[in-house]
Amino acid sequence: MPELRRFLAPYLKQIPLPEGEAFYAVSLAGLQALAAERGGGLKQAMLDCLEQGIWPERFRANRGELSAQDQARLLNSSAAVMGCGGLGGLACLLLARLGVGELLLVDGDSFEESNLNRQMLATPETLGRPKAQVAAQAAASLNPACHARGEVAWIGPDNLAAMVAGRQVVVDCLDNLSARYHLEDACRAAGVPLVHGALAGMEGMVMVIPPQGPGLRELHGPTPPPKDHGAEVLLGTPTPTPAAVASLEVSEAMKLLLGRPGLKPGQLLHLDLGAPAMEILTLG
Amino acid sequence: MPLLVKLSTTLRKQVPGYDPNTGLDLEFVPGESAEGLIQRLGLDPKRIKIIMVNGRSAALDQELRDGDRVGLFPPVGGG
Repeated sequence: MPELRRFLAPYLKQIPLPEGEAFYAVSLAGLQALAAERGGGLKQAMLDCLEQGIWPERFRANRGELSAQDQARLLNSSAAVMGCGGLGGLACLLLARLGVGELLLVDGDSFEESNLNRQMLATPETLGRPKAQVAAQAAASLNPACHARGEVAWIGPDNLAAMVAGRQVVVDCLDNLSARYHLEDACRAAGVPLVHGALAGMEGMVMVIPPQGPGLRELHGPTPPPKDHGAEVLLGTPTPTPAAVASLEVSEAMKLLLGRPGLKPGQLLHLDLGAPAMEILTLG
Repeated sequence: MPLLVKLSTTLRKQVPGYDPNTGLDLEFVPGESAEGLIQRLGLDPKRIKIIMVNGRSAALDQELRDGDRVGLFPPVGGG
């Protein structure tokens, strides 16, 4: 029996699979014991286990869709979520649960009452608190192996380069097209893929924007349309739509992190929860 | 074959009786551009940012063909 499995024996559970196969899962207590023994922290303990095909219990239900190598790759990944409101408030929670190891969560705003219909992190207790700070606390508390940092800032051309540098993916969860254009420019300059998501009423759009490839200018024109032209001004942002769009964004971000095929450059995923219908449109 | 026109978000409210499940069947007019169709619907071309013809983006001056599926979208930026 390998040394790691012997050390973890009290914390291991054998999970049977069809046709007589099985795999091992390790509890949080086992990971904490391993981290204390080896001194490398919880994330390193998870990586050590995954390398031996032992699944941390918290990720066990990802198995099947993800391999142990995939899960380890996510733990070694770094993502930024721009905006921690309707889209970003859920996206950051999903990325933390998915097991992305490092998250930068950015928003200059604080929670207010009108956010309560849709923003996962807006609760009567968090009203008045900075969204980015609440998001970082929530992500770290959901997954202590996730290094989540909140940055309370309004993004712009001056501060974006440092935020997106070194990330494997950036998730656009902003609420206006002008800021989204700045974000796309910064991601292109840094060579980081961007997952764009936007919504109005019961409809949403998701697009993967590679550093070279069609983006928001191909969608909306050379300059961002004025904020009061956005359909969301009239139709609002009702409860179900941000959650659906954020989930699609995280799914595309996961595929980018794992090097799997997803939405192709120039493809626009259009979601209509009203009908309901989902279609892929092509730019250019 | 008629044109099948699908409208997104705010545009739906500007065309009376629009049904998002079926879209609109409109008579094909030979030589008509996407812009001409938008005007025929009584919509403002300046407020339409994305025109899709048969699932591919198109310019305002694109000439439509019999049986085309046309999708019209205003800017969407909410989060």
